[in-house]
Amino acid sequence: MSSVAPSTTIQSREFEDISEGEDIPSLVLPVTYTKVVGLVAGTRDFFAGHHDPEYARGQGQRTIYANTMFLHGFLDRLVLEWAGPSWFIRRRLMKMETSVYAGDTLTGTGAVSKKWHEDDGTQVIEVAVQASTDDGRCVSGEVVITKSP
Amino acid sequence: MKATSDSGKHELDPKESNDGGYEPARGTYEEALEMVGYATEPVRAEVPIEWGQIKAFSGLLEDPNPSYWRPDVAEKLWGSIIAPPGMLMSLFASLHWHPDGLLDKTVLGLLVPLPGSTLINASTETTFYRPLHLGDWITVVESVTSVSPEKATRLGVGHFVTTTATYHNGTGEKVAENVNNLFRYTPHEGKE
Repeated sequence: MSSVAPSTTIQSREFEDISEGEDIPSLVLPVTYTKVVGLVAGTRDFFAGHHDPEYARGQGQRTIYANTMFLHGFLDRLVLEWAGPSWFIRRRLMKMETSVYAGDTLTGTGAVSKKWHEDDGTQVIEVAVQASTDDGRCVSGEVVITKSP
Repeated sequence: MKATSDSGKHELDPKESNDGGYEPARGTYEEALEMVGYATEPVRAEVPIEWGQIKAFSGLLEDPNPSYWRPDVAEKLWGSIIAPPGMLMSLFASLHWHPDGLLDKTVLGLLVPLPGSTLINASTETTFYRPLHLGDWITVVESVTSVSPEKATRLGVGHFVTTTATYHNGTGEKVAENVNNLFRYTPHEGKE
């Protein structure tokens, strides 16, 4: 997306070095009570399910749980930490199957499903991703990243 | 419900402060279907993209991406510090309080009348056209795309409300689009 070539100190993976089917490194993050409540600061989201355990239980949830934006940020970090900061997140599909609760540890994994060039030379990588806690899979989806050649 | 709105049409009662106990609009599935196609007026975010929030959001995720932390690197890549893409929806979260009173007019999925006391987000499909630059004031237009028939899930019984939000920056360029599926439901007996 930038017209300036990245400096050599910005480490990003090269399109040519990426293979379809390649696994990306997994990412582990403890989702502490502090982080879930801290989402009020990071996302201005006051929805009670994310900071009020009594409200969350009234919804049929175990306790307070991470919000959608936190999960977006987690999947984006999972992919960009592997690909590097020069890549642009073009599209993210995310399905939420179960909640990520305060106290859970979130593990993200992914694999490259497709890579291709567009007509103008833009490099595109599609990564199938998921994130799980000890109770099983919480979210699944795909992240598509791009880079100008 | 009409497809166009005047300023008073779909606002909830002004609240003194937002303690996060969002009350969804109640009604029937048939009433919900009448709202399919309804689109909001453009709404500008309460705040521009700010570095303090970028650091707070990235910090919770422990995300070291220099695009969010290092102006020298970010300027070479994007022209400025940029926000993590996951921060997009936060620009339209309701404030806790405002001297002019709070109106939940941007939470469109809650304005669709349906049975069911609560809600949870089910899926999102987000497309980005441009980075979210530090200082950008983002504007959103949201519309009701569809409402599913009644479904039962692990959590309860309800309907999936699909809304589409289109985001532009201050110079009128489209920055992103988000298709959001919200489950509006009544929890199963014994779980409340």
